[in-house]
Amino acid sequence: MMKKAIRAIGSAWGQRITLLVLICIVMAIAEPVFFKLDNYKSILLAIAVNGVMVCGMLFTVLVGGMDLSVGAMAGISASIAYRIAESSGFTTSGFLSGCALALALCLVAGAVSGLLVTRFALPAFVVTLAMKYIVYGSIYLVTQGFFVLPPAHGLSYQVGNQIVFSIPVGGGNKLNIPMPVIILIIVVAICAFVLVKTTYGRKLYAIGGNKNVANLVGIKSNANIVGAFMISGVLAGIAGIMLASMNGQAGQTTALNYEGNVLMAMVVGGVNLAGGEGGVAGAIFGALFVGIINNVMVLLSVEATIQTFVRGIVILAAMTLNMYARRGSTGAMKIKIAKADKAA
Amino acid sequence: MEDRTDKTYEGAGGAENGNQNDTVNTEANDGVFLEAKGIYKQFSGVTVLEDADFSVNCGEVHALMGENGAGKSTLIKIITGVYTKDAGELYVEGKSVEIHNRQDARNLGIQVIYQELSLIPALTVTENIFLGAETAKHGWMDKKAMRERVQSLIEHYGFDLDPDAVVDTMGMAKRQMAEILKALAFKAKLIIMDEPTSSLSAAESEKLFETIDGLRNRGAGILYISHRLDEVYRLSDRLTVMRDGKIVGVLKKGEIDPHTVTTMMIGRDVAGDEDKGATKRYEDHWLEVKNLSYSHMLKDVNFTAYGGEILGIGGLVGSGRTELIRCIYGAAKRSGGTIMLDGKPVSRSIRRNIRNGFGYVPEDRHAEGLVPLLNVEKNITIASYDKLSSASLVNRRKEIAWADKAIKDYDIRPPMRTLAAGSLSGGNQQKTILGRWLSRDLRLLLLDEPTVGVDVGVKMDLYRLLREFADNGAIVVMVSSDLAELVYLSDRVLVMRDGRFFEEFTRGNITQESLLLAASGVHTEEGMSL
Repeated sequence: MMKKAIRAIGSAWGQRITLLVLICIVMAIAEPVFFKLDNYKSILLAIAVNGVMVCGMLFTVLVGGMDLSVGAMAGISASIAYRIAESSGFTTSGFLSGCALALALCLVAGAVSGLLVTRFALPAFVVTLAMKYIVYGSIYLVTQGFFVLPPAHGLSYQVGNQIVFSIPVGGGNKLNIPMPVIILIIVVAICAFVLVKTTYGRKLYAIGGNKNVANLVGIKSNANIVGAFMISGVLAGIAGIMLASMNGQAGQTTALNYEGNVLMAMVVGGVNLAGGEGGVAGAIFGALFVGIINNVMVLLSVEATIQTFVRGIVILAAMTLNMYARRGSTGAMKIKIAKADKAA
Repeated sequence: MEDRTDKTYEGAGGAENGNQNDTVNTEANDGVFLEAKGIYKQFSGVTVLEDADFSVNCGEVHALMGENGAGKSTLIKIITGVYTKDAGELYVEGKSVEIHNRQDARNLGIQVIYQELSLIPALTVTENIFLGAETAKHGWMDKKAMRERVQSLIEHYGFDLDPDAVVDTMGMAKRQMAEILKALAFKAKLIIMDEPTSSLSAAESEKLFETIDGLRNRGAGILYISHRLDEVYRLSDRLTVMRDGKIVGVLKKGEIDPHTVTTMMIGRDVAGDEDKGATKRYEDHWLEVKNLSYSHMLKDVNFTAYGGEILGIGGLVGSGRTELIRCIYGAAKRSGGTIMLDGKPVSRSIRRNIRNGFGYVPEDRHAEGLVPLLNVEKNITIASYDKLSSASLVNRRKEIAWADKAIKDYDIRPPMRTLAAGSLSGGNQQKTILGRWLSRDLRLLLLDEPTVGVDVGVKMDLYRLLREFADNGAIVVMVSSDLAELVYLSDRVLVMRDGRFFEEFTRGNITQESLLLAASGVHTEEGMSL
């Protein structure tokens, strides 16, 4: 019984939940505000943007790549969408066409990254790091260095006194769930569906697990990898528009350097950065965990510099823990096999 | 099985104590070097070694055989200090010893040469041998002294090796020699070799055997682990067979014969080579290759293979065998020639070929065959999404049923769909890959070294599967370096040499000797020159 409990806690999900519970206990003692409903809402809003980016980057990580340009992609997407909306005088159609153009551009940029990674066999992190700077630099061309500020009326949808999203959605919903959270749930559902239920998802895992094998069973690895980068680009674009709407501004600092938090969520969520292993559930848990850590640090008024320090520690701790969980599970697996062999 | 010859060692293999050398203690040449008594080992409640008695003499080649999971590697790991035993005693040169770690083993003169060699490719032989133990003079590396030491070792053992050669530029056989030399440089008295020929060609293996013979004659003990029966007969003075964590028996040189050993290993009688009847040939299903060429590797290759036939492709590594079947499959883009299946041209696209009923089991299952992170189920279904999905949506129920059926049909053990494929034994990994293809309606199966690193029991299973599969009318083209396998399984063997077919053997005329000769460019009576 005891052993079983220890093994459960030692497993990947056991560890994650134990950690979360520990944090909650600490917060219950240190800062009761943590348990206020409003605080939950702000945690959820914070992870909504990150979560959408995490879902996107997950595709590139599963095929053994990585997308460091998600922050910049979000920035340019927000800037373009808002710039076009602005030039149309913030009409709904102007905003929507802005969004469409922004997302199309993210799609193309993702495809370019993917092609560079596959055709020229360049390492994904180098390609997407370069792409980050290129995209980030071109935000200036769109905004001339200014922020695009949408009017706080007309197009905006409010929760409490917070402007949450500037796509007009009508009178809100009964449960009063913020729009970004709804978008996150939809994105998560779609991504999980794609990864679990479709042949495309199966192929991504195969490619990330062993690209040679994938090619030899007739999977067009390169095309599928390009697809993964395109998905990452588009989802980053959506996240950017969400973020700008929440902040009420779009410009060069929108989502700047967000890829750090996204990667951190990935690592915490047990996604194998070498590819082929991990899922939406883990990645989103990671985003949640990172969101809560950030929230906790704000509530406890930890200094910004210390916050950065803590993030670094969290990444290392998560990787170490995952390594242990993996080793534990392969050990358990070996015993299982040995027993099954004995029985046979 | 009664002959547990604990005490009956017969002197030394070759006791010419003429040239004394400090690397091998020739004084103990006629004695037991290592003795293990009643070794017992458990892992989390599972007994993997039970009351194992075992000994190796100086100046003998002692083979250790057994199926995967029989306990060979556990025993080796206890001897070399990787694991510690739960009970039992170890004696080296008559003295009771405790081996707690690898260094202890090394200090006692026990060295292992692993399947994956441990040399650093960018360094020379000398630098590799003295890596971490460089001889220094006034704080500087004494390269001259080190080189001379290596040179004297090479001369002493009669190795064909250049101390200044960079490892990267050497073939596998020479690398292995360098590895052995490294062990000898550290005064190894017992050298343990784990599947040393698995990456060597027949000619290279022969060179290794000569080296081993030389070592034995100079008084070194060799513990030789291999799945290849022919090597073991060729080399060993004594043979210990293990099964299910126990020592089943020890055979002396004269007692070693294939039938006895196989029976001891798998615990039941296996069918001999004799029961091969004529097989039916399906003339309406054929693969025709005409004037096939592929860069400089293949030149003007022609052959036809028929349904119901297992066509063996022999020849040395690098003779173009692998390229040939990769070109047929579409994994290599042929530069000229035509390939036809049943009179229709074969595509250059793997995808289309798979749809047309092609399957390919590659040579290197770790690099190209298996996705180790994914479970057995996914590894089986990976090539069949065309049959398991509609409109890109996977039919989960069909997928599970498909995998379960393959696991059952091809006896993949343990029969657990959700197990990571990387954690299976080599033989079961190979069954998984074979299951991937055989579960489809295959018309042509291309195999490259299908049984490398697979233990005898599973090998027989694989042979049976392939035979059945061919008997049902499919074409099987199999590249192999395992001569016994080619003889046992093939209806016809084509031997390649320098990118061309050199000789053809038909059933009844296929012998290991003639295959080996043909591979080295000698025509024989049995074969038909091409």
